[in-house]
Amino acid sequence: MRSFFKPEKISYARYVVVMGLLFAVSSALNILESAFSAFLPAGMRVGLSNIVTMAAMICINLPSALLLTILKALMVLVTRGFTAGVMSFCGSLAAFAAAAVLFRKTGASYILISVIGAVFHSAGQLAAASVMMKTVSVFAYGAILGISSVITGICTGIVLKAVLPQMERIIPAADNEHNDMS
Amino acid sequence: MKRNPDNITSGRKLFRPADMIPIIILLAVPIIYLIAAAASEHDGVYAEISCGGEIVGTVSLDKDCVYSYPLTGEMEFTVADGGIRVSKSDCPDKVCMGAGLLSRAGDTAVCVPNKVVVTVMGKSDEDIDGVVR
Repeated sequence: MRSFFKPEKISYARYVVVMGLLFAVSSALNILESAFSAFLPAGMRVGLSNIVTMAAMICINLPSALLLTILKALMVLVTRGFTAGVMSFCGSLAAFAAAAVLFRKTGASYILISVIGAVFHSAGQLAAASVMMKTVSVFAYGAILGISSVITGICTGIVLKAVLPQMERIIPAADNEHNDMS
Repeated sequence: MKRNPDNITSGRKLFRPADMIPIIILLAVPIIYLIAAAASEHDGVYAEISCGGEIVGTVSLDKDCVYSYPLTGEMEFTVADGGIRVSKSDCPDKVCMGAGLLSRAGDTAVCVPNKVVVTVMGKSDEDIDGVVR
């Protein structure tokens, strides 16, 4: 049976384990990030959990990365409240869409994908905030968030490239999978 | 998909020199904007506090005082040192308080959960009114 989310090259058991693992990692990173972004001004965040989404996009497939994005937003909704949940959802959906287009349609480098993802994340969040608050004043934070997004995007891009070989080991290509199970 | 399934990382680089262009543009635009804004900034005269898009109070920055409004709940706004800061808020993230002292025209603090915006304004002949606690 074909699955919308699961690529054919991975067994169901492995897929469930890998997705559970990635969701756990992204939740843990999200909580860790909340702890130290309290010191940063203007609601800046490092976007560590975006690394997980991008790694899933590259190593598994787009639907799985989208699933992780939505799960992460639900996690934020439960742990940090409605406002943070909606902003996280809009931000990470915008980041996902931008990164997906760059990843599928261009040969953009990991750093560029990550930077554009981070910038769209901030833009999506500001748009969500301005709709919720019925004011455009939130875009006053746009410039400073734009600069911080580029810097954090470069950092997460480097980390992303570093974790990809490890992802390859837990999500092997089709031929390896059979040997693995036997 | 064009990529080789045996090697996930095939073809794509960590960084391409051509990618400098969009990254530099994305960095330069906000930096130029911030420099331009800093160059044209004036000292603030009064601050507007709004909630859900409606102005709930206008306070002078001359007189040190603590303000609060029924609409903005537990939030407190303190005027001191020629500026205004959000000194107390019941929101979870405290981003509004992190904005610090707002003293120059255009400075803004936003509290998304409470739908509150504090904006410092320049010269104006509007009447000042605020609720003094």
